[in-house]
Amino acid sequence: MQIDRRETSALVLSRWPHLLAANAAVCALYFAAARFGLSLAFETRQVTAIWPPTGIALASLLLLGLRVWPGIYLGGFAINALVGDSTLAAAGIAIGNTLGPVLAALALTRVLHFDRRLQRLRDVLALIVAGAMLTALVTATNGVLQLTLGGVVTWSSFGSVWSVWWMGDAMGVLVVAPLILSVVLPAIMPSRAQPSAGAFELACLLCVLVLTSIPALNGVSAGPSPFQLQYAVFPWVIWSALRFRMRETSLCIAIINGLAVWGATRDRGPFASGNLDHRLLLLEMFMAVIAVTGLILTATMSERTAALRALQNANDDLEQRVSERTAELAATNRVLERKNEEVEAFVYVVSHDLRAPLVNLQGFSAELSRSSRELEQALSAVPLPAATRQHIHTILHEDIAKSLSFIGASATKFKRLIDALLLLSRTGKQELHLEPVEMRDVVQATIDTLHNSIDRARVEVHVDPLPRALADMTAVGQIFSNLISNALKYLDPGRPGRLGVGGEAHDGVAHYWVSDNGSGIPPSSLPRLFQVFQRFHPELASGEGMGLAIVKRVVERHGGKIWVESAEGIGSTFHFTLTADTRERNA
Amino acid sequence: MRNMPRLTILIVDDDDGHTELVRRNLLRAGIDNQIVALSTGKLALDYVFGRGAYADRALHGELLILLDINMPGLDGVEVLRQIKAHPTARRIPVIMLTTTDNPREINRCYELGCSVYITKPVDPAAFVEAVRRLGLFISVVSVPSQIEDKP
Repeated sequence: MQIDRRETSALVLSRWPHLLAANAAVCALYFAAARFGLSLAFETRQVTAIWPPTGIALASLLLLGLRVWPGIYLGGFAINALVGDSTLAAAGIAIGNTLGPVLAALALTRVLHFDRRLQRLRDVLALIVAGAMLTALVTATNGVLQLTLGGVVTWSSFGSVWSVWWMGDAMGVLVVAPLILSVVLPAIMPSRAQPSAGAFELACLLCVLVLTSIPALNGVSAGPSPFQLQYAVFPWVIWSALRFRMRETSLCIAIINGLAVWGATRDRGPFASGNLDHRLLLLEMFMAVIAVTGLILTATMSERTAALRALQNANDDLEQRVSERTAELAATNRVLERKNEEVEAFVYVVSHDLRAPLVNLQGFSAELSRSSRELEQALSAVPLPAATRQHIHTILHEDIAKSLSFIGASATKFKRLIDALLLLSRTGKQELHLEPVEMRDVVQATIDTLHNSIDRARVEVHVDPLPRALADMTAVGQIFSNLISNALKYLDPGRPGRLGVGGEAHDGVAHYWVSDNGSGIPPSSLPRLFQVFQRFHPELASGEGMGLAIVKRVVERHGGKIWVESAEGIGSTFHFTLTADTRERNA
Repeated sequence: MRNMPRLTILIVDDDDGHTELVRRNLLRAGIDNQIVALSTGKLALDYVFGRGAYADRALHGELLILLDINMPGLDGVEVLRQIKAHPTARRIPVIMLTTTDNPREINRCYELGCSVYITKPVDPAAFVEAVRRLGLFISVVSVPSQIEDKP
């Protein structure tokens, strides 16, 4: 997950009045939290199960920056002086109470790249280890050392006092710091708010939580509870973790732990029996388990939600891009189609306009040859010298006749080319009626039509089973007719001709091929094979070289592809694809 | 036969060469009727309906029209449509004589009521046969082929 550096940096306290006010506020808050913490102390001994000021201190440092340390120090000094420690001891204890949170804040921000929003598991773990355990290590060690040196605590009880101090401070961080961070941060930086369950559900949750916690943690009657009812609160923590954010879960943890401490200090509930150390240990364990479970579960859930959201975003983004690209492609397609139509219309018009002068060319050459015959007839009746007659004969029969035959041949060729162009343009315009086509029948019909040429060429034709296609029957007939007659045209006279038609269908694509053992196509001709007016063996076959261009046009209008494999002297195989007819035919 | 009103052959084509070829073919086939050549669709309609430049044309003679489709301005299909929409003129036989072999265009002409559709370049024999057959019932006068025809 990306961490916004701007959000992890402390709030800027650039001006002195701000800094002063912040320190004063922290000091006051620390002091108030300490007074509150003292109110939760066990009456029998000045021992607190949870010390909220430590959490206040760490949260303040994380939110406002290290510059609020004087406020923490003053607050710590004031409260320790108030409870009756000597000024020196109070000053010494306050040093540790300040240094612990400062070191922890430094470790969290500088080393662990802590994100205060606590939305990742690693941030929660960092808060538990560096925030709670490290802070408490410093504060407890320093505090107990000061008291021992001051003679308030004996060296023999150092261990037990230290562990109580450590647990209380650590618990203060675990319960208070997440609550402050998660309440303050969304308020000052309302960004990328995670979806959370509604207020009504929260009210329900808090209701059942309190209604369950009071009897479970404070006992149903005065005195120690004989039942281990404290586990009844776990489902509500899990509910919060699954349905709400860190703020709500921190609140639940604070309520549960507060009630647990309150009950224990009043000698009620599950932590009311046994000696004080034993009770404290059980209470702390319970609180730690509640806090750690809630925090980790919430962070894990929030990480999961974020991952899901990122995935969803990526998905949406991808979909958006795909739909954009599709729209672009469709637009390009429309442009291309229009261009194509324009070209075809142009070819059509031009071919027609070319026909008009052609009619004159052909008609008047016929007229000229007729006139020259008539001239000859007319002259035959006129007496002329033999040499002159011979000369006239030469002019009429050789010069004029030859010129006319060239004009006539060109006009004929011209006409054939125009006809071919018109045919091609019509192939592009004719409407396709797509229907399931039984290819075997189409191929058989084509072979029947061509049986004269097949018999004459003594070609052996083999037709494999062919898949059905969704195509225009007539157009498909045109494809096979062109490919098969091509194969017949370019047979190798040196060996008996063989012609095969085959096909297969998979993934909705029907693939057909027509192969021959004919003369093959020279590699140099392959790139131009499907272009118009391409004839590669003019000596072998006549035609305008339009057949393959038309076939390609037909295949492409069906959305298929056409290609060829050919080896000179071995043969050629023409492949093409159509849409397979995947529907089951009713028997 | 000479006393009967003679059939006039009206050739409508913007290409003078085509008109000339048609005229020669008809003549050579011995068709000796009056031939009127017009180069636009508008003139053709004026002629048929006796308006404009032909306002005083005697309307008694029978007509046979050879009509080209591709003409600038009013094209052959439109001329055909207007003739066939007219209560009396619709009886005039019309031979469409064009370079278009587009089936759709041909169908359209037949739907509009043309008598014959012939694609240019014209096979002279088939063409003359068609003219003769259409004109026979009215009055096509055959004359020896070498007689000059001056409309």
